Amino acid sequence: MEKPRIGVYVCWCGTNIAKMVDVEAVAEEIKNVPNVVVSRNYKYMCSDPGQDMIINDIKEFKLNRIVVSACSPRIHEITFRKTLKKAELNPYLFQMANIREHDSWVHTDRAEATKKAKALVTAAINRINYHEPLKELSVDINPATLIIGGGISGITAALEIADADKKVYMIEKSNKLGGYTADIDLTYPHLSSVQQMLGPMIERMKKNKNIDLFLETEIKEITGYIGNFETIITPKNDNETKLSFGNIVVSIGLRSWDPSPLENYGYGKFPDVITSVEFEKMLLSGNIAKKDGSIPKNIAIIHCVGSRNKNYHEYCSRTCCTVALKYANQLRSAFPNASIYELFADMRTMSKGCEELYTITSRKKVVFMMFDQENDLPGIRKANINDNCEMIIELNEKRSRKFVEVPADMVILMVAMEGREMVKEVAQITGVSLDGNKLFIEKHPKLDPVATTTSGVYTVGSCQGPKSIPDSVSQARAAVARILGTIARGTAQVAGTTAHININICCGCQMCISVCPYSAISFDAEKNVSVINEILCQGCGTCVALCRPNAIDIWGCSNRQMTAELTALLLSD
Amino acid sequence: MDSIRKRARELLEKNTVKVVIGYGVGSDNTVRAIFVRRPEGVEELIFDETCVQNLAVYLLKNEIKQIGKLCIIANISALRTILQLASEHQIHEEELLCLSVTPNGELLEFTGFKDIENYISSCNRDLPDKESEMIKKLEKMSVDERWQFWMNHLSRCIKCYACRSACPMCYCTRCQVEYNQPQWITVEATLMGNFEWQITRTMHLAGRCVNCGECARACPEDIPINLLNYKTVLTVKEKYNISAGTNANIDSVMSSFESDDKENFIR
Amino acid sequence: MSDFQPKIVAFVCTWCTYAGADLAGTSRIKYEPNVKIIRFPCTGRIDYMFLIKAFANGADGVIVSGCHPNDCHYVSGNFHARRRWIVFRELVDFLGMDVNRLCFSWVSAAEGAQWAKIVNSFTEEIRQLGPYKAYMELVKKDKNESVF
Ligand SMILES: Cc1cc2nc3c(=O)[nH]c(=O)nc-3n(C[C@H](O)[C@H](O)[C@H](O)COP(=O)(O)OP(=O)(O)OC[C@H]3O[C@@H](n4cnc5c(N)ncnc54)[C@H](O)[C@@H]3O)c2cc1C
Ligand code: SF4
Ligand code: SF4
Ligand code: SF4
Ligand code: SF4
Ligand code: SF4
Repeated sequence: MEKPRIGVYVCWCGTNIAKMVDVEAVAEEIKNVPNVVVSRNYKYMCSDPGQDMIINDIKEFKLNRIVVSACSPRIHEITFRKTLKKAELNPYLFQMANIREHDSWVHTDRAEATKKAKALVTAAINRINYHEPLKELSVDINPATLIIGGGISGITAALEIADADKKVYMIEKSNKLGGYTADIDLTYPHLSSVQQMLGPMIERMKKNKNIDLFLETEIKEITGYIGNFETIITPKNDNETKLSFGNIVVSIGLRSWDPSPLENYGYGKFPDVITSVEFEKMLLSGNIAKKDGSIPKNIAIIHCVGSRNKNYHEYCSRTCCTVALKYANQLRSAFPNASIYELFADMRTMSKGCEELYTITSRKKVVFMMFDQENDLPGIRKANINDNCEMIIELNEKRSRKFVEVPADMVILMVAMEGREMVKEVAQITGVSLDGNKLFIEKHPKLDPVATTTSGVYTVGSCQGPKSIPDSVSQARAAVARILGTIARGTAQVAGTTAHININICCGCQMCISVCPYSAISFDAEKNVSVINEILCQGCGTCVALCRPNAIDIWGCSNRQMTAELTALLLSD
Repeated sequence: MDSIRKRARELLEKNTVKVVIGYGVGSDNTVRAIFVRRPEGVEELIFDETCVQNLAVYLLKNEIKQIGKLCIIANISALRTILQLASEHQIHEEELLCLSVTPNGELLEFTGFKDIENYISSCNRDLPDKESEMIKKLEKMSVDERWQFWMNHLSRCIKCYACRSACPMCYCTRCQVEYNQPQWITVEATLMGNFEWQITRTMHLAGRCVNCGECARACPEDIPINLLNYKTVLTVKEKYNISAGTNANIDSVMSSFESDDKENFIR
Repeated sequence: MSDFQPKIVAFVCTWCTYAGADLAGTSRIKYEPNVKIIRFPCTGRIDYMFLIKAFANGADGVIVSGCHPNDCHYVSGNFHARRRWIVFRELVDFLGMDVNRLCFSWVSAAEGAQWAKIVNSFTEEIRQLGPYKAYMELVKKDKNESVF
């Protein structure tokens, strides 16, 4: 192996890092670490000039190892690996030291943070001495796609793929397609009919020969890896079927929250306190009425029920405010003389045309009142006989600072959207992580919002985060673009970070075979040793740590690399 | 004793086996392993309670394997070793024939691993009393006292690796102590290197040690290293209810798991 | 004793705890600077030798952390790791090592605050215990100071 010539780049990340870490001092001090040829600091390493700097240095100083000390490798490792590729350097001769998420953002003492940064960078430099150029492996892509969840997101993805003449397996848990969208009457902001859009889509789903539809079916297990997944399903009234596919779209949506725990709203206690989902069905059926069949004269819509609430869901459910405005409009059309109240915490009408809808609604004799979501939620009580209404909503109106009693015959609770009952299982089966709100985590929140950290698995629609129909559709189409791209290429590159066995040392105990979760290891009876199939190996390294005589090591995370990193980290501390 | 000799003679005469590994009396009057290749040699064979050595360690030695089909006079440790080695794919049923004698003198001839498993399930596999007591005593000590105890002992280790050679489960082509990418365990017999060597040896034997005691018997410095292995024998038994060398067909403790393995220290 | 700054290294898996530590960063949760992370693909990869080598190189405490049971990105790596830790911990305790200097935890990608909490409490625990003198003695006696 040629002698390492290391280039080190310490990023300021604007002030994100530079404010807490003395980046200049770090870059200066590590010049003395063996094999460091160039050491620089720069405002934004990930910017084009930053990357060009690396490319130029590689050429000018014949660098053969690059360390970037910046943000988390989970964000920019891929970016910089591409930079190395551009400079014709193997992308694995690269290491990142995370001095932002793990340092400048979490510490308050500049001297300590700088010291820690030096240790982290030194460790990265020390380890990169042992990096080797790795080859990426190419796997064939099965052109079929599995879609889990047949709401508007799943349907859009399915049709788009099927239209490109590729096979789709659609797995839907319920007995019909459409998800929540199938229950929506009109959609904001233009109050157009949802069913007129969705109906023909569902018809096309049923007719398209490229789509195999499995209703009332669930996925229990998926094996394999990008390009080559497999599952066995048991469709209703049918035999076990084995499916093979190259990509997966997860589009299981969200479910509406049951607001009973918020006792102040009396859901379950007052018959005419209903959820948005229940009201939407009423709209779709064309019959807005109280439980006793009569017409409501006073209707109140309460926002943020269980959303943006520390005790239930801290996040905003995103569509409810605009949906509530949509309801006010639909109610006004149905009942020109009714009193309509919107009780909101903050009015969040993002997206095109939605603020306009707010303006339009406010001109329609709808009374808007604000409450304090954090400290002072409205409460509902039964009205007295001479109140001339069913219920009274008590609230401290936030802007006027006045106590108000709102009459109501019907109250619509804009309930939060939350992870579905099976979300954990689906996450586990597909190998995608969930965040603390039971929403699927995307590969990159900004630059790669539909892919996941598992290659070949995409997450679209509301299961990735609450969103509207157009946003769900956009995500579905974005994922399809990625999938069709991979199918068109026919192959995908998988990381060369796989384990390998030294057959001169393996003693054939086959313990590694038992631990490999991907059945990537098999036994060569003739040579009496175990061998790893590098395409199947996902690089977890469990076999490496298990093998007693250290016959196994792993590219990209070898015993040498990790020990060098560890030693330097402690000694430079 | 006679029954063993008789059967061994038959096996050699009929050429069913090429060699019988058994116990004999050495020149200094101590019991040692002998390798009988001719029928007349069987008269040297003995078997009694002094025959504690685990002869199974020879099964994987190349010189012995080359001879051909083996017959082994196996005590309980050896029988367990055979099952454990079988589960690790190191020996195969057709390669050997096992003879043993029950405590009341009855000759046993095992037709296969299943047969051994059945016999072993009825045998006492507990740790010897002396070692059990010692482990309890150590556990009652303070951490510092235990540390001192082991430092005193391990400071004598000369890294001769007799413990490794004596252990039938240490059959690796190249032991981790010789691994140098990186050199994880100090080559010299430094205290730290000795300490790390014993951690490695014990971790590697976790779930595999059949508590034969060969390692400690081999140690020229009388270091009670078998206590370390026995401690893990207890851990494995207590946590997973598994004893090594009882089943020729199961995954070893360290290469298997239950999704609800119990512990009380993970935060 | 109280201004003693312990050296602590954390061996974590990239999918859960590393991501959790990233989240603590993006959420700007503040915590002690003593813990330095080394990233592994999976807890299954974390050889007990790394733990030993950490002490041999002067660590006062070691954290090992990964995905919660059933959440392993590689399905079962953390289950194998758990068995390894159970046996290892009992063994080194029996050898007289101070197991209070070992911290094992499950921290998911969503548990940034939990990561900060573990770092802070473990740093404080090690600060109370002081430097790992017994092991340092051992290291000092060793002629080969370091492994590479
Ligand atoms: C009351 C209400 C009114 C709304 N009004 C509007 C509006 O006017 N305009 C607008 O743009 N948006 C509106 N929305 C938002 C809209 O409903 C969502 O954007 C949309 O439903 C997201 O679609 P999806 O396909 O991602 O998820 P979903 O619609 O939730 O569909 C998910 C599908 O996956 C299936 N599934 C779940 N788990 C599994 C599993 N384990 N295996 C297989 N299948 C599974 C479900 O049965 C379902 O069919 C409204 C939402 C609500 C609640
Ligand atoms: S665990 Fe190691 S020695 Fe055993 S079969 Fe696998 S590679 Fe070979
Ligand atoms: S690293 Fe080993 S255990 Fe993990 S997937 Fe690869 S071969 Fe299997
Ligand atoms: S470690 Fe010692 S007691 Fe255990 S099997 Fe090996 S030699 Fe026998
Ligand atoms: S100590 Fe470990 S590596 Fe060495 S021979 Fe024994 S089992 Fe093999
Ligand atoms: S037999 Fe004793 S002296 Fe030799 S290496 Fe083993 S413990 Fe050390």
